[in-house]
Amino acid sequence: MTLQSSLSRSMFLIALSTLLLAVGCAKNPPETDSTASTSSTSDGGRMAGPGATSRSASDQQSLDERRRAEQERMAREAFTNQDILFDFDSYTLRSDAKAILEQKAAWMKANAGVTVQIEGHCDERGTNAYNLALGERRANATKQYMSLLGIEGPRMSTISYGEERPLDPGHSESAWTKNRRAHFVILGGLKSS
Amino acid sequence: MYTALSRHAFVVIVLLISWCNAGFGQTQVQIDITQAGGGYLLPIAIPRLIGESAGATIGKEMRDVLRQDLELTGLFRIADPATYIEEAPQALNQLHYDSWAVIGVAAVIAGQLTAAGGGNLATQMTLHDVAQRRVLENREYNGPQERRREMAHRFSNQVFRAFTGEDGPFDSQVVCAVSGGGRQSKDIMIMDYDGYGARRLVSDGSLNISPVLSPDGSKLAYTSYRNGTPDLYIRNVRTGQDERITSGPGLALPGSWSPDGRYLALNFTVDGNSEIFLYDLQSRRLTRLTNDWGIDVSPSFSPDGSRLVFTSDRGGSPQLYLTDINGSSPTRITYEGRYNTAPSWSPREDAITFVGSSDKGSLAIYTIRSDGSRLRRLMDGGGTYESPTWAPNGRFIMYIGGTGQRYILREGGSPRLVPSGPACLSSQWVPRAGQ
Repeated sequence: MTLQSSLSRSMFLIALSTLLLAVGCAKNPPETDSTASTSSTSDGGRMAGPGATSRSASDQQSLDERRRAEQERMAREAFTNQDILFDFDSYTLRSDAKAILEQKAAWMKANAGVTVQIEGHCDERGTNAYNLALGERRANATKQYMSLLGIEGPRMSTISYGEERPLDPGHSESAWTKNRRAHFVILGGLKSS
Repeated sequence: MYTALSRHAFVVIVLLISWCNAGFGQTQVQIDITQAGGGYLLPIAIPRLIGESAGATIGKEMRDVLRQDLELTGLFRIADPATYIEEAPQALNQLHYDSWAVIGVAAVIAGQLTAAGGGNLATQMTLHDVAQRRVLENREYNGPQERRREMAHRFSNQVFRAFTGEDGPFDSQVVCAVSGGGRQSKDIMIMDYDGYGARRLVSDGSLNISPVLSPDGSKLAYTSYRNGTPDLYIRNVRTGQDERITSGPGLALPGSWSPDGRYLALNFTVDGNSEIFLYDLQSRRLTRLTNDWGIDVSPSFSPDGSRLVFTSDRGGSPQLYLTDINGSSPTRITYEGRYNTAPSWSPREDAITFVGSSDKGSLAIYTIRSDGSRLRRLMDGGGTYESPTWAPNGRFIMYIGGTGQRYILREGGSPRLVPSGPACLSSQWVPRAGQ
């Protein structure tokens, strides 16, 4: 691959590990079940009471589970909420799009059973039929990059909505920017939590 | 004495009486539709119909239809009724021409309503040439009251023909994709060209787009997402029965029917790449016409059915290309601007309308000949435009503006907003079905 993409990949890895560290610090102190470290969490207020020391192991376990569930929910929401954006009349993946896809691929690897549909969308400028074909190209280019990142083809389907389903119904440049996108929808395979 | 135009059509009695041609040889006002653009609008008066007060609002509605039709052409001006010396003529065939000459109108449309009872309507209309003091047209219409707008549209056609020598575009319909009941759904509707009399052809809560009606009005090609992928269907309009032509995942969109109605040109994505195909209704076979890495969409047949114009980005930006129905060596016809799409070939001549990018990069409606000559921008542009479509007479173009409003445009004229009807997402202008 090109220097640019390997650069962006290493930057992504740095970003990802920073993110994991940050999440880990704030939400889920790992590898420790002693009460000492939990005093640094945002739940510290509750820990101050006399009941804190009498918390049972099972309480702590369920707290951890809830935290883990919350963490998973946020990762899942980031996966579905963060669209990748395109330039006008283009289905070329930009470097910011590739960085996001690398995060999405990492998530799909961590959630092996998940299948997705990749939707390709356009802004309202340009004409319907061409935009439907362009949206299809955007979805296909996105799927292709995910495949290169190691996600199996059968886990991903594509569909184009052209300009039929704008995210932002406005008629401004900022609306158009948001609407030229590929959007991920989870079809199935999520572990119930 | 009378002619039934179709099984369901109302009776039209054509009174071609000898005095119709009494003035033959004299110079009648004639409008050259291809040249009129200098701002001259032929002034016409439409006074109250004789017997109008007995017909509640029917007479006024018919006058409003006549006014709207003629004004939308950008060729006529309806004189302000406040200036009329006579509110209504005494008799259809005996006008006080001096009373109309003095207010400066070139023609008068006189009409008479005869309530026929039982929900029926009988009306007679005459077109008078004020300068020559003679009747140019005389028609009588009989039919159910709910077809009163259709009767007025037909007389608008007569007025148009009298002054331009061409078929009028008014008694026609459009097929549109419109917002459906649900937020994400779209329906397909057919309505009069001016937005009245709309009825739903496809409405099932899913996304239905890109309607293209066959030349005889019997088959509707469209794309529906109802089975999870954008697939092409052909609906028998009479029975409502669908035939599914393609199955996903690839996108399929109908483009245009051949003039004889045997072939449907469409785009269909195979192996991730959109190509042009012909669907043969007789053999039920799809034949691939293009084979290229680029996006190929929006095929439109030439009037003789031998060639197709379509959009392709094979050269790096979307441009118009021509091919014959065997798909041999497509040739590019647009070279100006970096965005030329949605071509539609005129039903009458070598003219293709499309949405193109102007010098400034903004979009506008254009026409061009199939050899790439005579490129014309028909309006100022600067917004977003969709699906330019020719009137059945090939003299007007309808297109859709940014919020789904429809405009009518004539080469040399300026765009006129069609005042009513639902917001359309794509449209096709067709002759009235069943004629």
